[in-house]
Amino acid sequence: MKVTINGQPKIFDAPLNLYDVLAQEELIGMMIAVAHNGNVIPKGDYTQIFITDGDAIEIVAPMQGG
Amino acid sequence: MSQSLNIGDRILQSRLFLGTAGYPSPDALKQSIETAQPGLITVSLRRESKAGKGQDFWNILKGLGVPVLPNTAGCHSPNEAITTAEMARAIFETNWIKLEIIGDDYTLQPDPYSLLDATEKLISKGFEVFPYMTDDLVLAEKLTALGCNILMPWGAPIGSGRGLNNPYALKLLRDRFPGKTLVVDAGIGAPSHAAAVMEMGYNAVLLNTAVAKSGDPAAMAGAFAKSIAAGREAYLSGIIAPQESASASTPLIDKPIWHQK
Repeated sequence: MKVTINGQPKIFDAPLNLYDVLAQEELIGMMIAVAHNGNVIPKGDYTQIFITDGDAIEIVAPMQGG
Repeated sequence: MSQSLNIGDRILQSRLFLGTAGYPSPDALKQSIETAQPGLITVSLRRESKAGKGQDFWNILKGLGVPVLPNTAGCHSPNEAITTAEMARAIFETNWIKLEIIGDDYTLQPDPYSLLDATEKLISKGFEVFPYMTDDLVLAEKLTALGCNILMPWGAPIGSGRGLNNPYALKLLRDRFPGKTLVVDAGIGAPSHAAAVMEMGYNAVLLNTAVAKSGDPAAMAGAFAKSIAAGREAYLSGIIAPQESASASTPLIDKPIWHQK
């Protein structure tokens, strides 16, 4: 299935939850926040969010800012 | 004299709020923070990839122990800003958010209408909103009516280093909102600008470019810390009112005979 991560389409095998996506992206344990289809997901809920074809995931991290 | 500042349930030990962008190197950023010991530092959020640039940046900051104020820089709509604020709360575990919604790309002037819209929604979600705003009095009144405890008018456009474009408007805000935390955010170029802000009775100054783009960021950060502390101390000490005529500072009694007519 196709999932858009930070605006870039990627192909994953189903079934899949949000934790699995972050693991494949090598981002587990990182200082990040994640939104699934526009909804911000608490860190403890990643395994509860099941991914379906066409979903959009945004992953952000701290960056320099004024 | 006290230089600390209470915001919510936190006590900040300095009234310098320092941005973290645009430094010549990560070491320059770290040294600037260590030298100035700011009350808080501002950060933003950007998309993260496997490269993990954000992790390297965070590793520099987390060891310094300075409170973090995340911003919504780069947002042009209330919805973008609200989502960014919610992601910032998730990542930094703070309800503080510097709400920045740009309305004009040339001056980076904040959009007052979107600011009000997003402020109302974020306060209803439990955020402590630090609104980056123009120095407009009516906008300030509406933001406080929504529940803002803090107002952050600009001194001049972001990164311009012009100082205070409209001291009259800034003084008016101080006079009209004596119980609110007022912070000049943006446009500061020299430590004297920051001192002038504090001498007006403002509670803090937020700056970034004036330090990051200076010839020696760590030294300049220290200079700003001193100027802000001096301005605060001067304000608390009671600055004399200017007068039109001269007034001799040396006592005239018992002056020598050759001065007497």
